[in-house]
Amino acid sequence: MAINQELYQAVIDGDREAVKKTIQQSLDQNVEIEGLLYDSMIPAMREMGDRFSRSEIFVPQMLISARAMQAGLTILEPLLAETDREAPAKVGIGTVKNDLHDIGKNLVTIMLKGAGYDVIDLGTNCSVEKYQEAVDQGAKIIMCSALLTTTRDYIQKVIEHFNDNDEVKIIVGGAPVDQNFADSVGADGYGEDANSAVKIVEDIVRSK
Amino acid sequence: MNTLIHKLKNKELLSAPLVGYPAAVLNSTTAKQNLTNSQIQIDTLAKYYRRLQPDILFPFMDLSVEVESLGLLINIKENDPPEVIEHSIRNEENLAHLSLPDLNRHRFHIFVETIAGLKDKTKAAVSGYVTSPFTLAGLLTGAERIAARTITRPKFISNLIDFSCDVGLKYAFQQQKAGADCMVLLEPTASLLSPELFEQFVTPYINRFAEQLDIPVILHVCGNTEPLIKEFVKTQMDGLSLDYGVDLQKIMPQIPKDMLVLGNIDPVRTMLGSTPNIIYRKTQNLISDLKEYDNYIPATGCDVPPETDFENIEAFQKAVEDIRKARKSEKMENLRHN
Repeated sequence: MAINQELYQAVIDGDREAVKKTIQQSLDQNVEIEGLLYDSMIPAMREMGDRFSRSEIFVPQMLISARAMQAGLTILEPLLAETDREAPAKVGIGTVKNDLHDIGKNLVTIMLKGAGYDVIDLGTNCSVEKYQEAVDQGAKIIMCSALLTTTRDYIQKVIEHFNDNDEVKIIVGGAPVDQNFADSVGADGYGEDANSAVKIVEDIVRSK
Repeated sequence: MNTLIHKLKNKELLSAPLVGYPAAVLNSTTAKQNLTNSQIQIDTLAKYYRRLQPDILFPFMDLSVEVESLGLLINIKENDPPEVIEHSIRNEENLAHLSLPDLNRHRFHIFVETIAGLKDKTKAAVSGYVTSPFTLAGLLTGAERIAARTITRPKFISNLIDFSCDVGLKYAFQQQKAGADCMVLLEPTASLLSPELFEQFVTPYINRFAEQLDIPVILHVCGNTEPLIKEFVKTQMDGLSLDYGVDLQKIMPQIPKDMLVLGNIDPVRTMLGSTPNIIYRKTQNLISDLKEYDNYIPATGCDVPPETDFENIEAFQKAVEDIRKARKSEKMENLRHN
């Protein structure tokens, strides 16, 4: 299916109303719904992610695009559930225990949803048990977000908890961590920013 | 005379690591004790000064003081910086219920007394801290909400920042009166903004501090702020405190010579996560890379985490002192030859 330029642009512009209107018009014309998502909306969010990585746009623009995307997904998701498409990979994400900061986690969540993943948002102050709940619900990728330096020990604890489960991959991100830390504690990936976090998820899903 | 201006006039290489919390180890106190008792905080920071003699002393960094005074919930933890847990100012109606806080109540006096106490007990330039207007507004309404609403509800956000600015100015005047030699505006949330949004939602408000205070005003923004540097230099700030994400060598040519630049040893990966030897070397390398800039002050990029080993901070200070000594001897040598 060709790109729906109007829908693509509405996501880029963060125009929620235009997204909803264009989707509704497309549905009225019996346009294939998967195409709307995979050929127009997801590429638009991917483009925003790339612009974000190049510092051409910033968090506010990213957020309103993601919210426009979310408004579209709210219409499309029940319809997509009725199709025989392959279920998207499930990801559990949360800010680690004793940390209540969530803007980074929310940004990654929004971008993952924008990229078509099924995301379980565990919120902030997440204990090992909370991450385990996401795995029990089918998540194969766990993402630990943090802002406070004091969370580094707890991130390690989360990774140790899943050590025996080869099916679960752990990605870490946030100010107190880096690639060296991720390597030293045995994480499967490190997301330097929201866009790179999504790309790491894509790499893991592709390699499975 | 203002101690900072005096020190700058002497053109010494100054040192200004953003250290508060790690110094608590010197008198076996907790972060909470320091944040709730001025005598303890004065004792902690005076001990730190006696040990290392930094040129600029900063109080414990606490971005919850103003928010708490406005009635929102915060959590003062035993050994970590406090957290704001309620961000409930979501519309004009909520904002209308807020009024400027009484500085004699809440925890303002702890930091004001700390400044006065440190002026009395040390020869350092003592800085005040204020939660900068955009960041305070973000704490009141939520960081994600303020970021999105700069686009979707700019009028409400401007009104919220305007109120936050009045709160900050009131607190800043009190710290200036207590003897603060400079004022650092803590503006971490501004790192989320584009240059255009920074110009609209940050610059006009921080400029009010520069216009109304009689002491140098320094803007501190965390993270990689390279895309915002052009906006920073257009402000009326006397100085910038830049985080580790910024390549100082690259941006220094853009900074006017009369604008101070503090930075930018990585507080987490270097100060917390490495060894004294590495810190010493990285600090010396940074100073050496920036030796042609008289407006540069060696500092950490952001507040040094509480659990940082004190010997790591000693290594930073020693690196600055050793270069200072080497420069002095070089100067003497040159004088002898001439």
